[in-house]
Amino acid sequence: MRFTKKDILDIHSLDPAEITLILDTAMGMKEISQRPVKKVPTLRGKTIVLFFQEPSTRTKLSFEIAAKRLSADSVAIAKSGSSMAKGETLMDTVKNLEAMKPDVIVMRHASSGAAYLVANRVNCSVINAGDGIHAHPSQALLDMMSVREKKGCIKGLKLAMIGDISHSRVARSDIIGFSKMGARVSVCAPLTMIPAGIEALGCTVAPSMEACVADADVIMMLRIQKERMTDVLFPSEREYAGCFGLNSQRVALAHRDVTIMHPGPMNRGVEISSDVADGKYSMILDQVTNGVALRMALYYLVAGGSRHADTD
Amino acid sequence: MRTLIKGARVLDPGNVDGYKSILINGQTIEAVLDPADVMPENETDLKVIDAEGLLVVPGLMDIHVHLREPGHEYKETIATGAAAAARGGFTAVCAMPNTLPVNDNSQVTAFILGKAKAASRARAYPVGAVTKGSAGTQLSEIQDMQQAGIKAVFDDGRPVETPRSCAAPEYCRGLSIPVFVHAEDLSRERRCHE
Repeated sequence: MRFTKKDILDIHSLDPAEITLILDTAMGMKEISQRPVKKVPTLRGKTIVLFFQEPSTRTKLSFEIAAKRLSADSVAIAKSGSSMAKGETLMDTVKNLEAMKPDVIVMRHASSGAAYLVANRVNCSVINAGDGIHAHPSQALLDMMSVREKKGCIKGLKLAMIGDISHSRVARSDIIGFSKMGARVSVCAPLTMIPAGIEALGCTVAPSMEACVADADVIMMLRIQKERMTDVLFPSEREYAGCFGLNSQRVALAHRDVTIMHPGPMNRGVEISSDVADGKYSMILDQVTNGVALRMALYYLVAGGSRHADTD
Repeated sequence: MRTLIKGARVLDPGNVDGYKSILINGQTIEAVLDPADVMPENETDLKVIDAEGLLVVPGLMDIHVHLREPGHEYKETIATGAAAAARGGFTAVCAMPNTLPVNDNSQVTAFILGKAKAASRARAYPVGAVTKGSAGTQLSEIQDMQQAGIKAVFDDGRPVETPRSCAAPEYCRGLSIPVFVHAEDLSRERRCHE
């Protein structure tokens, strides 16, 4: 199968076969990071621009390391320090970037849909590294990769997702992705954090944390955004931890071989207790490791491979 | 020990309305008897209350009561409020949260319940504050208060305004706890007076 998409904008636009191809490719990339010399020439001569207009640590670093391991030339620009700070429009900035002939633009933006706007106007590939509260496809794909690696498959699993669904692009992409691949997704949070009609994405809303994690094969905790407490989404970290924090008693309700995930950054003692985060079921750091391989696969599929065969 | 309440107008809205007698055995109402029915009489263990001209109703409940304690004991205490309620036929009252300190945490809730229990008159159902100090900026620990015994939440005397008007009821729906509303838009009121 050939991957024919120019861009990776969301999970919704990928069919199960494409998702499987991405995950298979990523598994193949994983070995490169374990070599003494962690570099292959696959994308030599390709230019990748990392255009991040929102704070990011692991996603940006992961995309950057992935580019370097494939020998691509990567450059990063941020909102501060770019012409955007001088009042240039997003489209003008992007058109100027494109004029320098990059092969891939990886972009993160605070507005939902920004990556679509850009992708429709440029000839190079665009990878969405997070747009507003809409989508974060590379995170959802690395989550699916991690679960498939651990469990052997995704179909038939129960995924429990607890946290601020309303403001999470990770949640939306994961719900769509995991349900598309045949998992049952159950979400739970204070109702102030669950958007109306979320079931349309393919999940069910559990009445309690206990019901949500019961018999779950995978528990995915989302970060509580402390800065949103002023929006009166929840009263206090203490009450949140009591109602919706993952602790060992709640883990015990899940499948006995449950996998615990968190896209980071974690608030220890709020949404997840330290003994669970560091415990034997946790694969939070494996997610980060897989993130590099998954992003290498995305670069390879949109900018390398058979579509852009390396003439060397 | 059985008790017979005789000759009262028994009113249980939507259910019973008429001149009847009530036979009580311990904690249980054994029978509601019509005047034509045979009354137990001259039993050794029977207390008869002649209630002719009186009204017998189920225990009434007042859902908006200020017991004022803690903080405003010069106006009312839980003991005096609960006694007055019982005297007037109210077996339960909802205690408003605008005390000093405000009933916005489980310690105040526990204090009110403890005082009401000690008073041993009308039952108190504490109502917690929606927001801390009823100040309207941050949600109270409603689930924590619910575990301590509140039956509803309310920022008494203050309307629940945006954005709380959206967030607070949603949060409470998840806890299945009622939200009382003081339906007043302060900003509009101010404009009317200008």
